[in-house]
Amino acid sequence: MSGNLILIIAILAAFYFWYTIIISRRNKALEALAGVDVQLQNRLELIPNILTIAKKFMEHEEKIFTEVTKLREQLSQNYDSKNPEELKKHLELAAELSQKMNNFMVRAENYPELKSSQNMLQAQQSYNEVEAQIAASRRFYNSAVASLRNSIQIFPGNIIAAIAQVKTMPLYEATEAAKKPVDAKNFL
Amino acid sequence: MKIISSWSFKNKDCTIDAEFIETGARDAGFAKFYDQKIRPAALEFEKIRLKYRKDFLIWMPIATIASVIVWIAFFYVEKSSFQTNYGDKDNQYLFGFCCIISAGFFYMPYRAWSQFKSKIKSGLFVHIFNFFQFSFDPEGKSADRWALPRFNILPYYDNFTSQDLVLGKYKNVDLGFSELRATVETRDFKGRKNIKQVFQGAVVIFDFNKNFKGHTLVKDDKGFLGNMIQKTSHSDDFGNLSRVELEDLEFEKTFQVFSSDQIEARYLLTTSFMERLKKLSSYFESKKVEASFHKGSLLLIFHDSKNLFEPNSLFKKMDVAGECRKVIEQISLLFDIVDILKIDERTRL
Repeated sequence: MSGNLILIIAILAAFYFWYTIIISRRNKALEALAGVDVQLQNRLELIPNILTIAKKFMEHEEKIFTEVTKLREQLSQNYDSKNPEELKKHLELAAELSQKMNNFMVRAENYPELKSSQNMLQAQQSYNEVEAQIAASRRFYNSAVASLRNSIQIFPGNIIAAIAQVKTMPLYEATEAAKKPVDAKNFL
Repeated sequence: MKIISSWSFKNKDCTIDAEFIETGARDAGFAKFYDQKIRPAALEFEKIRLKYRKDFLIWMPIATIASVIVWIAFFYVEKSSFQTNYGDKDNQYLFGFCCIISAGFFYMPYRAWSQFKSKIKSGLFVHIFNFFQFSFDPEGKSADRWALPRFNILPYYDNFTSQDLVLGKYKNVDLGFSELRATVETRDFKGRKNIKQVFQGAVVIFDFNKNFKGHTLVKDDKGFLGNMIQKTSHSDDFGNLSRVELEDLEFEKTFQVFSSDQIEARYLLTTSFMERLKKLSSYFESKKVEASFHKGSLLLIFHDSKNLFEPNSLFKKMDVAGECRKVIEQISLLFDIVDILKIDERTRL
């Protein structure tokens, strides 16, 4: 009798221990996501300045201006960070914006006056800095999400996660287009 | 275009042939500088080397023969004292006396070697560093100005000696280098004082004045248990840092990273930074390298690194151009680290 009781207590303790791991890892992933959002917000604030500076010189690039502006607006909208679908969409939009901005910067290289403009140089420097910060926060986020996934996908973590209503979170990955090397011919 | 400086000098005492080839932007203009400043100095030092080599060759056999005589006398006296029942204590005193006498004999050849090293340090290497507008003080005792304990990477020490202090600036970043020997005083159960060496090697400090606000440590990986002990036995600040797991598996095998800011740690520890760090370690011939980023400054420590800025031998003609190349490469790598971490200017493209 007492042996059974000890076994039940041990199982409950193990479940509770696993539960605390899952919750702490989820919180860490949410914290990392907040870090990503801070940097994404910094980029959103920087983009209008870059577009304003470049618009004077890149009059024939209306399409990319429109695309970037549209993506920026979509990304500015609020989302539910605990809803995996919404979060996934948010991160995909962020990756797409990053890709569009990289294309934009490559196109800007075709305009020597713009390239040598002091304002543009400073804006590009700030942009690169923000991109580096985004990359660092993305690495932290992905590492936290990988730990969370390990704890909720391995038995009995999957049962505990279902009871605690903890869902997996999407990784923040570069878009397929961003993974491909840039083909300069497309921008000439 | 490669710029070559070459010159040759011969007289009855010595022969010097040297050539310095510029290889890039970092050593641009050095060939001319080499001809103007290093060449006359190197010629002088070759003469000095020959002089001290002569002194060494005279004193070394004298010291060896004199020592052998002293020790033969010691064993003879010891043998006769055994027969005549001299006390053990007398033999101990005699043994100590013989050691001191022998050391005294070897002082002269040692002095020849150390004076030669000192002349090379204060002359030749000063010129090389001057090219980069760096100062070089072979007796540099001022490493304490850096307040090293705040970096939490050196083992606890209560005393240190330093030498070869190099100070300079690159892209508004203050750079400092020094060789350091740190010791701690301990007492045994009888209360006797012991001096234990806790660190010997080189330290390099970069003062960025800004850019990073947290504390990030790159420590040598000591295995699961070793890392646990290392973390718990260190000061409170280190204990408060959390482990940073990086994606680079090769790097993870060699190092353990701890930081107060997970994002900042990943921001600073880029692949290119890690590559330069490993390369620097091999240039310093160090057994292991560790790094600490603390409030705008970076400290690199190279454990058991080779003595730098010293001639290799009294018996070989100095490879002056090679020494210049070595120092330039070391400085170049330090500059690379600045370029990588000069966060407000880097493009990361």
